[in-house]
Amino acid sequence: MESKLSIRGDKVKNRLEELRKERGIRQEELAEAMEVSRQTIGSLENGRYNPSIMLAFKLAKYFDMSIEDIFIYEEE
Amino acid sequence: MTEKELKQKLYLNIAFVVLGLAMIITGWVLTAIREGTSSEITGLGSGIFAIGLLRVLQIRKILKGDKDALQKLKEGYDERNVMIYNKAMSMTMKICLFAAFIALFVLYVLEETVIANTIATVVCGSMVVYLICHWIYSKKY
Repeated sequence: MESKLSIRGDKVKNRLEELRKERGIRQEELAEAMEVSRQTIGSLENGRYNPSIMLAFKLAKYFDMSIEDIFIYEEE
Repeated sequence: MTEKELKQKLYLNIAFVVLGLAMIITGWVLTAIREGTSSEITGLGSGIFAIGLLRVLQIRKILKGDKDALQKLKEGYDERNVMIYNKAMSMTMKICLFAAFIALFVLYVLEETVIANTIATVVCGSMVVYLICHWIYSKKY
């Protein structure tokens, strides 16, 4: 199998904003539940920041979904 | 963050307050008996004292159950803020090193060898510390 070397080309999209709005949760509330700042939630939703694996797991648990359902890995 | 960790932070910051006060007093005493770098010592001490005192007050609030103070502390250790801090520190170090190399070049050209040697020692010392830290972290992870 061919292996690809990708440097900073891969992207991770997420459905965080969509899921949060579906459930009628404010950014502040989600931030408090995740023990992060509201800015972090904003940056995650805008795709400017990728979460640590721990935060990804916490978010998945909070929304009762798997990580792959929230975060979508896109290979370049 | 556990209560034990918070208490450890409290004691550490109380130590900073004491250190700051000791530096302020040392600065005052030295100002009274001689001229020189005494006011700088007072200035440094004031900074350490103020930061330590603010932290002590914040941690005391948290230990008393203040939710706003706890949220502020959590935000301080928020992973994005930690990443920003680390990136900023890394970039600052790179810029400082670059500036130090330029300063060294200029100072050696101007034959200001004492200042140049001091800067060179600091740069070399930093590099040694970096190598040690790199070795420790590469063993750890």
